[in-house]
Amino acid sequence: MTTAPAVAAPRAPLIAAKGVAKTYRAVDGSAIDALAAFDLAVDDGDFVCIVGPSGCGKSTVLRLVAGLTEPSAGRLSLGGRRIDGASPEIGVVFQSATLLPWFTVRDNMRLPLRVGGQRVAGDARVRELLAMTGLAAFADKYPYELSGGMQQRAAIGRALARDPKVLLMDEPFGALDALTRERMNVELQRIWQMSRKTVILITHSIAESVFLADRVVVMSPRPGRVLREFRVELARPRSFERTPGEPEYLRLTREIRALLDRGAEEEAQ
Amino acid sequence: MRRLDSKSLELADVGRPAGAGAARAGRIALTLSGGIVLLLLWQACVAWLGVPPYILPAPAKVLAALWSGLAVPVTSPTGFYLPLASTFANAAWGFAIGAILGIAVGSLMAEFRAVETVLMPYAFAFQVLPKVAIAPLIVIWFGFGNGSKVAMAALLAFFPLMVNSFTGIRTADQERLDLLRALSASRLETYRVVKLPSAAPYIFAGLDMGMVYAILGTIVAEFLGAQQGIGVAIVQAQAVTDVASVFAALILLGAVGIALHLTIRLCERRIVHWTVRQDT
Repeated sequence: MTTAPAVAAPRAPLIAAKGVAKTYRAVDGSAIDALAAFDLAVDDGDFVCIVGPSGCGKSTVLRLVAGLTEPSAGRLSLGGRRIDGASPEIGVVFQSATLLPWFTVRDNMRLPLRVGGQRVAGDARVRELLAMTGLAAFADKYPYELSGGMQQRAAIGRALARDPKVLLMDEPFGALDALTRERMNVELQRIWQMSRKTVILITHSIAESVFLADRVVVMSPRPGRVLREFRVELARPRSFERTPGEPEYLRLTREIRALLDRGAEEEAQ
Repeated sequence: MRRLDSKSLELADVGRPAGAGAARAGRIALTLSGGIVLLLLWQACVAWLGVPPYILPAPAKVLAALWSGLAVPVTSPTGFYLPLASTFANAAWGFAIGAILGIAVGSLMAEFRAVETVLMPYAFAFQVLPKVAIAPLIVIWFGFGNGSKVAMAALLAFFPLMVNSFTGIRTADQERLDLLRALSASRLETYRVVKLPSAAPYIFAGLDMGMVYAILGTIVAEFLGAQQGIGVAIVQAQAVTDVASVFAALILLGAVGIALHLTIRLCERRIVHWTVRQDT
């Protein structure tokens, strides 16, 4: 036979960070190393959660991938191209919902279709997003008329407006109460399964990361680098009735907690 | 504060202690009765101490003067309507011009460091100058007609709007600006969608101040010489020691000021509806 052997060609990851470092200048002039030698590869369609202690540079990773800040060293790429600014292939969900209070939910979701060189009427798209996030009945409400969970859902809808490949989320549910947070996790899983985006979600909740992710990336205290990655093989759709009781879930949360505790102890010494 | 929709408003009304509405009415009654007591004291002092009316006229006299100026046809040359209309028109034009220029310059300074560096020191130097002292110059340049009144009003209205729109734009929330950056929005889009709305509460506070200053500027320019206006009416009444008419004109100016202030507050509540109600 003359057919070439089926080489498992290593597909280039959608998002790649190689040896990325970020140094901030503090107010007093001293240098703060937020990230050092940070490596990450995210494949198309992956749901990756990044967990780490506060101040470990998690948010910096997100800002770098979003093109909101430049690395001090190293290389970041999206689809093989160097990231050198914001891209329509990336939707960002910030810590607070960051809805514009002077716009209705509908106009907030339409915003990405109206600025940055986009000139889409987008009525149909906005209707889709409202339906997807379960906010159709609240389209003409203002953000302050919505609950915290609904606001964050609207923010997710807005981030998806341009149908980006990648969704970046920076502790999106950190400000919500525990029950709403669990509901939002289920909701996000549903939206993710519907839209099949690549997601990078930053969180400090181990439970949230294991519940949501295909892969959990654990970061060290500052300067942040990747300590270890965990693959999560739990079946989807996951639910809070079933998943937290599974041995795999328990094992992963235990191991991640142990790893984070060790990091905290090392830092304390 | 949370916005109350009609339903929760009903609930709030039901749940409110029965005395709440009465308490509010009581407060208003107290304020009013305080004013009435003051008026009575004034009247009593003038009557008992024999204060001559060219120093301090009795409130009844002031009310009579006010009435004689108001209970006439709108076009009467002795009425308050023509001078009031003249002063109001000039102040309004000046206010509009000053406000628009103030917002424009404040925005440019907030958006461009170079503009800020060039203008800010001069703006502050000018700000500390008592601008009323410039009025004679304004009259020399713009004449005794409406031009000097409009110019003076514009000059005084300009500063609070420049400073407030500058401050308001600079305090725009960083995460909202990041959002627009992540969307590759242009500078103008960011200004229109985030910065200007963020500055709106500051701009309204500036409008409130600027309105008072615009009337002040117009009156001062009228004092220096004009054919018409409340300022002229005051100077003319003073010339014949008709102090009751001076008081009447002042009461009228106060009433106009309150009406304009309430109008601006109403517009603010309509336009900047999120400030009192948002908690995100």
